[in-house]
Amino acid sequence: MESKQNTKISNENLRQQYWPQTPAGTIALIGDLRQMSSEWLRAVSYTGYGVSLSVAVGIPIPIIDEDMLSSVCVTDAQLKAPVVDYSEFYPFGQGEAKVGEVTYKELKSGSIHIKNQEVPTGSFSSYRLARKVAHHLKQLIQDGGFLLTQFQAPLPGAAVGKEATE
Amino acid sequence: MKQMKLVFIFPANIVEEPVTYNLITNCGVRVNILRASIDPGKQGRMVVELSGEEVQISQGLNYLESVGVQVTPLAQKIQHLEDRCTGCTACLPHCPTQALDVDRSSWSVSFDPEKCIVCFSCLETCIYHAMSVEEQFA
Repeated sequence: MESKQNTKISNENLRQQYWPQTPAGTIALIGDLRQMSSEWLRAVSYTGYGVSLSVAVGIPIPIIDEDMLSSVCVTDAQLKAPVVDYSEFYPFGQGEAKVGEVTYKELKSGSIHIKNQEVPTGSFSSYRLARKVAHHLKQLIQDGGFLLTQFQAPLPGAAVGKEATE
Repeated sequence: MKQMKLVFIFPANIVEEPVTYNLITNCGVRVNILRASIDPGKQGRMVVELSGEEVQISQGLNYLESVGVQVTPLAQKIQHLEDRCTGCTACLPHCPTQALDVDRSSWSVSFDPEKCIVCFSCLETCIYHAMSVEEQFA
């Protein structure tokens, strides 16, 4: 179930070829907590920030044409992330915000190079749980337990139909 | 040659005495201080790696007992709660001794108590509270 109000998709100069070059969208979801498993829904507490919820979401992507296939074939080496300075720029506005750019392949290797220094990396999202939820969804689909519903509404800001292919 | 990681708890009344100096010079034990702190109640806590001959180490431990230093092995103090761990790896760059590691094909995080120096970095980093510490050092 998708909540329209807080879902935001930006299409302006963000996508080159088939993948976003900068953060391009957030999706808000509504669900019934009582039906959920604690495997996919965890209470978390960030030191210095507060409490939050960590949610594993499985989203099926129907491969309806070649464009869609190209979009899902994007590799870690093609996905880029900025390295942002949280020590000087973010709190004080001094120096430069972006100190480098790395790929997800580099991030997942365990260390990246910034200004000739090797820096260890970690992730806040769990690849293990992401794969697990994806396999769970795949199983549901194969067993016929996950069925498509009628088209509800376009994602706000997202180009749809013919417009998207231009 | 024997090597072990230990936690020394210093009672407030001896916290100003050169206990570690005596341990090194009188007993000939090699002391590698991994972490040391004194709390507001003046109780001291030190994580050390001791190495030396068996005789020297037992002599050293006897000396510590005689001055009132409580000695406990280090290994079991930090625990990795696997049912809470999602394998996200946020803790990895914060672990100074690589006691926390990940298998990059299965993305499951492992914890090696032998390498752990009980610095508590992982406790602050883990948003799932998958790292825990035994009550007496909490």
